[in-house]
Amino acid sequence: MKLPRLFGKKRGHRRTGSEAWGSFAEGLFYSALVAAGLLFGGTVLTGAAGIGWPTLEGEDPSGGWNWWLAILLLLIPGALLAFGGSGLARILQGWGKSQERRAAASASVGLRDAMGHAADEAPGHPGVPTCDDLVNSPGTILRYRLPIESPESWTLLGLGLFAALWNAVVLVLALGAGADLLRGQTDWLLLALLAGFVAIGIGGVVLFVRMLVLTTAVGPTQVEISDHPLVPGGSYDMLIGQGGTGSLRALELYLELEEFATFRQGTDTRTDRAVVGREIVKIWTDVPIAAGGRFETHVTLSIPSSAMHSFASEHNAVKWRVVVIGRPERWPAFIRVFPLVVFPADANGSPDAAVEQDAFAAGGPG
Amino acid sequence: MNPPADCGAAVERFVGNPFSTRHTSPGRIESLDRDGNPLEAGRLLDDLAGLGGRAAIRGRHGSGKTTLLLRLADAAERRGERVARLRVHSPWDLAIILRALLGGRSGSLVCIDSWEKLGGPAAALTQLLAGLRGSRIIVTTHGGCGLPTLAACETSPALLAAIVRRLPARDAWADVVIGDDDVAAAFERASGDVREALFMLYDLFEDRSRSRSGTG
Amino acid sequence: MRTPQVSPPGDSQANGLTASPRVMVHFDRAGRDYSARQQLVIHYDIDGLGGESVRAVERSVVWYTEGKGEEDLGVHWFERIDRSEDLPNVCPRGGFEIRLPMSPLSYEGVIVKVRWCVRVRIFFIDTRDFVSEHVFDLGGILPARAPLERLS
Repeated sequence: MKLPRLFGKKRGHRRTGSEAWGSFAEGLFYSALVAAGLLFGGTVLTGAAGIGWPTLEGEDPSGGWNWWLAILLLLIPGALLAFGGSGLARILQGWGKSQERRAAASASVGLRDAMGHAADEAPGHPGVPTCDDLVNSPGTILRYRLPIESPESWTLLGLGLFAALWNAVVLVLALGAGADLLRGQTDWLLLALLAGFVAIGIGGVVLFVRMLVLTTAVGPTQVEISDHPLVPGGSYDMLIGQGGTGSLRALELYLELEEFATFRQGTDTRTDRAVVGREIVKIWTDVPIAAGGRFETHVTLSIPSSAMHSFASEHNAVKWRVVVIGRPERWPAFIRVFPLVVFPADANGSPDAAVEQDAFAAGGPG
Repeated sequence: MNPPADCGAAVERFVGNPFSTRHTSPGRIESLDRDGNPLEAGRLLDDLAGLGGRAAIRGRHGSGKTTLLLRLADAAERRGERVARLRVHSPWDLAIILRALLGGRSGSLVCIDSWEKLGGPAAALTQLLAGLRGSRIIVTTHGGCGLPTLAACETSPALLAAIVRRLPARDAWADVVIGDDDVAAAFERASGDVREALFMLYDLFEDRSRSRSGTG
Repeated sequence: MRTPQVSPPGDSQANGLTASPRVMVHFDRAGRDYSARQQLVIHYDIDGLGGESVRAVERSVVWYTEGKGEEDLGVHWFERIDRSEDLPNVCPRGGFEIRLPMSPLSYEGVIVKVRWCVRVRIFFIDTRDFVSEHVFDLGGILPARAPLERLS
């Protein structure tokens, strides 16, 4: 087997480089990460790191530390293995391919970096995002149930996960401190650490419970639609369901069009957003919600006939969405967002397109 | 051939916003000094040799470091040199730097944006490898990094005004949509960040154009 | 009255050329307005070559984004002619006909715009090149209004 040349043919003052050696060097880097991950993980699993795994008889040989902590520690070598492994896989995949062939896949001009990826496109519609994620949930009455895009659900999930994981660590530390105390040993450093961890753990639980109460009190919002994807000029039946207890001073339903533009600003990424169209679909006032029940109603959603379709490219997007704003009597207002995908229509806009556009942009009645 | 008089509206809709990133992103505009005069890329590349082949372009956010880096890269390529252009986000990007240094020719130029993101150990390793390979490196950085300074990018109202004067189709919008006072005010509001000022002027141009055309 | 069918030299970029090429593109539709899946028929004339030898010509129909974000590009149709026996058919005069796609449609947004254009790129013997770009409209979408809300 012939090894690639480290230095190629000499041409005047210049020597050619070798793409193969470049890939090899990069591969060495990722291999080092994999090796570090295996070494670290091995020391944890075998107990060489001083962390004891329970014996078959259930005894904890090291005292104090147990396998919960060991599992947490395995996250570090896991990350090294994942990063190093994916890098190695990429090297192997691109090995032997020309620069042009690789560049054709990345289509990167200017500075080369790893950020950015193109959105999945709808078949036959370049630049239009797929709506697979929006049509995989059947509605109870209408054809599809729209997924929610609001940050509050993610915040609740994040808080819950944080509170659970943090308090799991607190429990492990507390067990260790307790075991020491029972043996007549006082580890002041551990106790001081434990005090801080307990304070943060309690804070996390309080925040999570508060948010959970708020979310439960205002209840879930459900939006179903008769068809998807939508097209300009189309009208669709929509079901709005709002749970909770008490009553709402107002429940507002909007159709919005939003633009997103991402720009790499030096070392940071900056994303600009602009809402360029908003139409009031319906506003209800003094909405009572019986305990255990929910407010439910149908509306007609119309997409302006000369409207832009949904668009998504690597750094730019045009997105449609339904926005529900609820104003409870005794709680803060909530905003819930439901994404939509609008495909391009077959024909150009109708003669009334300009009138529809004015109404949409000005937030007029639908 | 002169277009018919009433086609102004139709032609106008194809004329973009001159402050869009298509016209203002790094590499699209000429590299200028603080007074708005063009920087000589060739002279800077010659200076690099005198600095041992490793140097930094320094400057604050939005001062044109990346623009100058890309201009130097273009100038080096026109001289027939092999050039790699890389942007760093974290020390893990050492991998792509290794690839560029070891996969390229000896004596090639490696342009690295956001050098401080690499971190001390990775930066030291990069310099060591560049020395062994005989590769030259030019980096961008906000502050000191142990490399000699090739160019210090500074901003001023004159610089922003000079950039705006070089934007396309100026005859159609200068003093009609955006005037010199607007440019000076944007520089002030952006606290000297030229990139931010250009984004502000983009928004202003867009708002005023739409008002004039009745789509605002 | 409509805009002329002939698109003037348009945006161009000459990389280190001594000659001053100009590309006049003729669109088959007045106003350069097209619908999705409509046929696009293009004829072009290149002058100002100044006797420089052409080694290749690339013709393409692309869309790109413009605005406050990084520029994205999509190639709908691309053709490169570099065989010496084929070059006389495409330079200094040539043409092509393609069917436009369903999307993305041209869009005059506030911070995101989608533009379609015809590009003609001429490569000279000494490796320098010249590109000319001619915008057209696909879809007849009305421009977006002023933003109701801006966040960055």
